[in-house]
Amino acid sequence: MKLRVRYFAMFRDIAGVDTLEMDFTGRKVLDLRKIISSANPEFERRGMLIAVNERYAEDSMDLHEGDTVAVFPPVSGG
Amino acid sequence: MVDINRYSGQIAINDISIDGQKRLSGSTVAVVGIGGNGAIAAELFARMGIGRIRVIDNDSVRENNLHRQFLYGEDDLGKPKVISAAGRLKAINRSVEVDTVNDYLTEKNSASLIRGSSLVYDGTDNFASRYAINSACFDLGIPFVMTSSIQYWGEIIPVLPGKTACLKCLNIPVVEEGSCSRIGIFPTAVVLTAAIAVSAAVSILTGKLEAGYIKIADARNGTVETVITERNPACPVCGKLTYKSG
Ligand SMILES: [Zn+2]
Repeated sequence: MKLRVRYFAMFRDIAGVDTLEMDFTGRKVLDLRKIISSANPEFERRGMLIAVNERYAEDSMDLHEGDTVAVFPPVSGG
Repeated sequence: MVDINRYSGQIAINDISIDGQKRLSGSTVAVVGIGGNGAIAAELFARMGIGRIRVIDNDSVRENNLHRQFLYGEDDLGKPKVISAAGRLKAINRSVEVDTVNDYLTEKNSASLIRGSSLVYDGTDNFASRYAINSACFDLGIPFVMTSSIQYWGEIIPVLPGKTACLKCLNIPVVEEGSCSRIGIFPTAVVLTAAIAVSAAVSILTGKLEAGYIKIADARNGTVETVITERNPACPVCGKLTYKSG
């Protein structure tokens, strides 16, 4: 299925891209998390939060054709 | 008694009006951490006429705070932040009561430090404090707004106990990146973060927050993304709570 993946905050700088179209062969958010973190090992170290179609998503959630997925870190400073 | 002239600019806004202004002036806001985000928020709360502000911090003002931390200037270097902040807040608005707590919030003292407040503004810089605030706020039924910023970015999560998702519902991992001075923090990031977070605080204090969210602010590009959140019924902190309004 085709997904649109968006990075927010410092993930944009780390990945060097804001948005990408992805051909996703998995099924769940967890599958996508694994693909993205293997391409960007620093993401998992910083903690990866994920939203699907602008709603906060758990790893067990199913993804669907055309979904927009946002991936962002928890920001920790003050 | 609301000073109608002083606050006319905000009373003129429909969803504040006299009723909202009365609510603000009847509120007590605890600002935990008066560094980048917290100091700006405290100043905004004082200007808008929050009745009582409790500032909680154990830091002293350092030179490398001055590029982003409102309320402090060169004359404050070395002084406890709560003392400088209280003086400045009273100078801005004499009718606001300011309590100072020259201590860090911990899991142990959190409940006693925030008890009696209508809202907690989380201006801390680490997740250990944020989770301590999260638990204490749920025990006491006090809403809070989490804020954080680093480099150009900020995140804001308003939490109404029993109504919107808490930090544990979202299972936000505890990742400490190190101090702002090491990773970097641009002053516009704290201004943007605090602006969004104080608006969220006002929407809670005036009874207008309907749904939970995370806002992710980008001060470099001037954009704000919103992610809608929902409570997790299995949450160990708030799973069994139901919301009581008022
Ligand atoms: Zn919860």
